[in-house]
Amino acid sequence: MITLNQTSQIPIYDQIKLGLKGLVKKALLKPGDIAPSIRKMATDLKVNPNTVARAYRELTAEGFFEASRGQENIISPRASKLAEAAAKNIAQGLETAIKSAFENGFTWDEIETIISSIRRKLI
Amino acid sequence: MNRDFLSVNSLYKSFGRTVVLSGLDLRAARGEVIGILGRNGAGKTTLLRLILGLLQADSGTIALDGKVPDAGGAIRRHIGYVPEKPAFHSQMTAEDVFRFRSAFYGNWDMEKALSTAKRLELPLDKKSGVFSKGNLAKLAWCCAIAHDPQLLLLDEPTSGLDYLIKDKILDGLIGELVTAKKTVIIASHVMEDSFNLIDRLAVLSAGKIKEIHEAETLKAGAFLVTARLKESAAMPDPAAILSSEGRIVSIGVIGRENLGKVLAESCFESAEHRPMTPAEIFRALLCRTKEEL
Amino acid sequence: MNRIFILYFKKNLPGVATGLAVALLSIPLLSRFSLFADPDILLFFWVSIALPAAAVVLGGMTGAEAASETAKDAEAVLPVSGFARLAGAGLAAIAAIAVIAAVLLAVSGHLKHGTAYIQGGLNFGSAAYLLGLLEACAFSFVFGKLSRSMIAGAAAGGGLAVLTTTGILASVAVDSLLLGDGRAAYFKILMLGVPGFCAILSLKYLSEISERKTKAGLRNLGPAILLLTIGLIASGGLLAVSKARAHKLLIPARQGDLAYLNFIYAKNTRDCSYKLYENPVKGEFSVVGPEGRARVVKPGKTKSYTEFFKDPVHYATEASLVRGDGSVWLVTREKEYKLYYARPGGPLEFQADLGLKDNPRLAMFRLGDKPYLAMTSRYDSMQYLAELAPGLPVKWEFTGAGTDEGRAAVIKKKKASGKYAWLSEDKRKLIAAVNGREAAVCSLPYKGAAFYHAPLYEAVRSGNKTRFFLPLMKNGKTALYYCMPGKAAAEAWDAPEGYMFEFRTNHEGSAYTAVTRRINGNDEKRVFYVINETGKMLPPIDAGKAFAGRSFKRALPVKSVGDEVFFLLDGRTLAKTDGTKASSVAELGSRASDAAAVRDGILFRDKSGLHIAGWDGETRSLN
Repeated sequence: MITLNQTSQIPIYDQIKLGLKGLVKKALLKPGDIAPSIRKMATDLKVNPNTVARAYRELTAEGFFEASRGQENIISPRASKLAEAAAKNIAQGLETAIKSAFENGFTWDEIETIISSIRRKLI
Repeated sequence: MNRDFLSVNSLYKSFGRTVVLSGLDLRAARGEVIGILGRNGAGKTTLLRLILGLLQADSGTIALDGKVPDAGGAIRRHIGYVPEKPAFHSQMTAEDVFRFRSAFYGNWDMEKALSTAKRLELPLDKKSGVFSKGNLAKLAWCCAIAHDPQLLLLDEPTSGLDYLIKDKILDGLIGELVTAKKTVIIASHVMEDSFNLIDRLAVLSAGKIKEIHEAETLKAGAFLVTARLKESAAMPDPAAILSSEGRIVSIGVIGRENLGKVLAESCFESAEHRPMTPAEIFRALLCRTKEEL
Repeated sequence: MNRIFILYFKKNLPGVATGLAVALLSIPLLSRFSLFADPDILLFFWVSIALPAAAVVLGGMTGAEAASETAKDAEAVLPVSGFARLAGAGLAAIAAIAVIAAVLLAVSGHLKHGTAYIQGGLNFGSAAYLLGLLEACAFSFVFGKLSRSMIAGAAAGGGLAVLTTTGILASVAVDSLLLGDGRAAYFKILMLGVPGFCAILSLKYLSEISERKTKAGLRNLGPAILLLTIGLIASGGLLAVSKARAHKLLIPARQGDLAYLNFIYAKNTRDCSYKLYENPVKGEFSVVGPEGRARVVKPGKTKSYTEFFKDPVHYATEASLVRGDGSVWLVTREKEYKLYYARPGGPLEFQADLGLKDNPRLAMFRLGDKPYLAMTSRYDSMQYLAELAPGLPVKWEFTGAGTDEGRAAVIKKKKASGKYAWLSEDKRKLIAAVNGREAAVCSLPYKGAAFYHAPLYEAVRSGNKTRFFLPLMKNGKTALYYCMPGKAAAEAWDAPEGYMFEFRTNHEGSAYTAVTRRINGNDEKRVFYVINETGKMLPPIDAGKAFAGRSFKRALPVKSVGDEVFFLLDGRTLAKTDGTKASSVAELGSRASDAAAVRDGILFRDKSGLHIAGWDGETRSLN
């Protein structure tokens, strides 16, 4: 379900969180669904279960999971809203940044070059 | 973090005139997963055998939860060991091996051994003398976990195994980590398979643990810098060079703080950087030890 | 360790069972062939060749197997110590051999003479054999483990076992055959089990060095080497001790081989002040004098180990005679017969090569004051006699063909010596040779009877009196009379019932005879008639009554002091009595042998050497 990027600078647990959020954004996971168990997630991704546990803990703290009822982690109704809100914020931020680039005299090509180099740096 | 569940201090071991370990220190907390990276012949197996009590150190101490490995072998009751080349009495089947070994351990769980064997698709009634490498690894794995040891020592646990068997073994390992807080040491010269499982990575070279990094920190702070040398300028630190072609050099940099320093080197005309893949990280770590071997 | 033992035992079991089956089946099958017709030969083969071979091969093989990489990888990782692992495997091999041996030994009991080969000598032999077998297996296991090769292990283990066993068994042989020390021998046989046990123990230290790769310091190498070599050291040590003891052995030199002439021998023990002893290992002769000190009169040579093994013992004495003054005549036989003479207090000096052929019988004795050497040919019974004198060549005088003629010749010489008297034709006079001429010593009131087997009556000198004792037929019964030259015959003691032996004298001048009664078909010498050292005739002493409460078979008067007579009972107890009261003087011990009276006490021999029990009861050692 989730793909990890081994060379990414982003820590694994963050990637797991983002991956789950992405699934919700694409409506592949809906509120009320039970997220894969820590064991299953760890086995599928070949990562230390502690790492998965950490991601899940943080997701619970953020409200992405419902306050845990036993072993299961259930996608909360707020999750899609959180995912949407996060997406909207990021899109807005990008638009602002690119607009100001134009205002400062950057061409589209220059902007694309910058984006490529950021891509290389980050991912 | 209280890192004294497994404590190895100042370990020295030589065989005849060959010095293998010279002052090795290693400490692990309960439940930690530690990877030991080292080249072939660096002494990984020797270290594991010393912890098991199969070898006697020349000097230094080893303690596992307060227990010391001695000639009596009692410490092996608490350790699950998967050797690089597992071996069994060739006329015994897997079930025979389980039954034979069960007598030696007080808390042998035959159910667990059999169910693990089943899950790994290990045949129970074939003589182990005809086992393939994969089956031997599976059998060794079952034996290692059946007595619920506090410490797991895995020596090249995935080398030579096909993808599917590798998956099964790693699944088993992850399963063990989920069910109980087990301390694991994975010694290998290839770390890709276990990179996401380990908490810390230790580099064994020249008989010592030369450096040890938190896995997360390592991943977040490992960069490949590609730079162009100024005309007739020399590299200040030749050890870090991974490759070079004319005036273009590739350098492995570990640690964000070092990245800035390297990029600012005066001998570079220009430079760019990107995160290193795990394989590149391991190569870089081992390259730094090249001159010592 | 038990699990490892079971593992290896199970591994070896098929081989053991097969071997056993082959062994047992071969016996009846092969006995069809004439060569092996006798099942004992097969059994002998199995016992002496096949089973020892199996022991070292199985030991070496198991050792090599246990040390192999595969075994180590499969077993070492288990929570057993390296020692437990190896010991389990080693003990399994030993147990397997023990099983085979036990079955073979048991089966041999059902074959007709089979037992003789294996059980001959019985507990000794079987125990030694079995322990040696197990020891060989243990050594082979250890060396098989060290060398990782079955052949090297078998060879080294077998070799070491042979060396160890040979040394111990040689020492056992010396102990039991030469020194008569059976108890020490038995203990040493049991010790055969120790080196094998120590070898298994040494695995504790060897596994430290070879498996755990501990630095081979003194802490591990020392005990390992000690445990492996302790058998060899003990074997060498025991052999050395036995060899040394053998070199201190003293055996009384025999007087000779002419038993049928026994009446000639020194029944008078006057000459027993000195005794000649031989050490048959060293080839050395010593004389023990009346005060009880041993003096070497012919030095011997200490044997080296090779000489000791090749030819440990050689009894050189053919005949010997020790005189009352301490002079010694000796005939030895190494390859040739040689005559030696020692002056009183001096060493034995070579006198002559006797050049005798055909292994004749020899004996030496004293006739009057002269030493004689008697010879009888084994093939034609020709008798020869030679008078001996130092410095003079040996001249043989033919005394007759057959024992009767020889005896007659000796009797003639005795008569001529003047120390013996004989009855006249009418048995009413006692005749003796005085200054070379026969003359009547005294007339007898009754006819003389004869002492048992003796036609001559020896002059008995005690104190300053000389008497001839002889039985006379008084009123149909024998009465003991004595006569002194020139005096009339007088009755000595009341006529006893039974029959009397001739008088014998002791070294200090007392003399005695004994009356024997036949009780229950056995001769029992119980009543003694003793003349003490001053010549006084003591009242008869009934030994059975005097020593009531003590059981003995033989009593020998050895000395008298006043009214008391010292007796040697069964050669083991010295006691004294005056006929009514008796007291114990000294116990020589149940292992005492060759007890003889000398001036200062009783000289005797036991497994620790020569001792003298003084008349005061104090026993001291002469070594």
